[in-house]
Amino acid sequence: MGIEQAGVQLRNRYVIFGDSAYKHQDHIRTYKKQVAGEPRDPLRSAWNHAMKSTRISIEWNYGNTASHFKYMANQAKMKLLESSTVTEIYVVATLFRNFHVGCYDCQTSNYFNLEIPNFFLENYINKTNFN
Amino acid sequence: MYELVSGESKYKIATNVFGRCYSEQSRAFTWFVKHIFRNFKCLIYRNLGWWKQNDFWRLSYEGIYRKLVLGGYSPDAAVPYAPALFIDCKCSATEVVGGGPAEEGANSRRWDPDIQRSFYNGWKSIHGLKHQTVDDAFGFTEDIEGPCSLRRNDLAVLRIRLSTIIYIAALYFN
Repeated sequence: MGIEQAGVQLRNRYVIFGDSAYKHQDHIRTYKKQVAGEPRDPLRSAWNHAMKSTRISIEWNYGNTASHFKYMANQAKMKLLESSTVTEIYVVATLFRNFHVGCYDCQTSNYFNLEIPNFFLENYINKTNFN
Repeated sequence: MYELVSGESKYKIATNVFGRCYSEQSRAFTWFVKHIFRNFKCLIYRNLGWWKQNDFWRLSYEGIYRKLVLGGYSPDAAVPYAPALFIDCKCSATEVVGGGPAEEGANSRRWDPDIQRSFYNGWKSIHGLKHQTVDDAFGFTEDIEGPCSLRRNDLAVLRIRLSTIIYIAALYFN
């Protein structure tokens, strides 16, 4: 089955994939679990194995944020109930990482062999659509 | 920005880099963070619609599917669902709650065990905050939620914003 067929089959019903901490819900899926007493399904194992190697990319993004913005690694600067910015720092850092990825790619986009569209940053900041 | 990237102490930055006093550096940093947060958080909070409209989800799914096939999943096999985004929680370690020079002595807030417990995670043995992010295969963080206490687990964070998720799902996922 080609990717076009797979897309048509699913009618573009995309889902969010989470690790095993999450439960199956309508739009959030996780690894398929082995049900006790049922025979081992090789297709399920192959799916889980393949998904594990793709899901790890979200952890790279966290690492990317931490390596670019060393402020957050400095635990002494993150003072709860003392600093008014401590709850906003991570959001701001993530936003800047998005800008950085838009300009220079990142490990995740290289891994999935995806090219960032031209004029990404202009459209993203202005919230305008690509032509 | 320099402080955010370098992580150096305000004293060093104020003295060696910008030649200003500590309090000015502190105020400038706080103003900068708050300015960016207030004016640009709309790009990262509740902005999933923009990503879908501009085809990022389809491209992200195609990238993931190609990797699934390379990772050993048969291209002839049925795809149970189309994963386009990934969700996970990021734990950010913080100082012990109420720590720092602002409050010293026996009556300091830090000695209240309930306050300490409310931000402490026994699994990781740290105090901190937790953010839930939704990322795509491009490496962009499309949506973020939080922060909330590190005491909560991933599923609890999801439940906290479940009403939002259902709203987003109804709008964009079908």
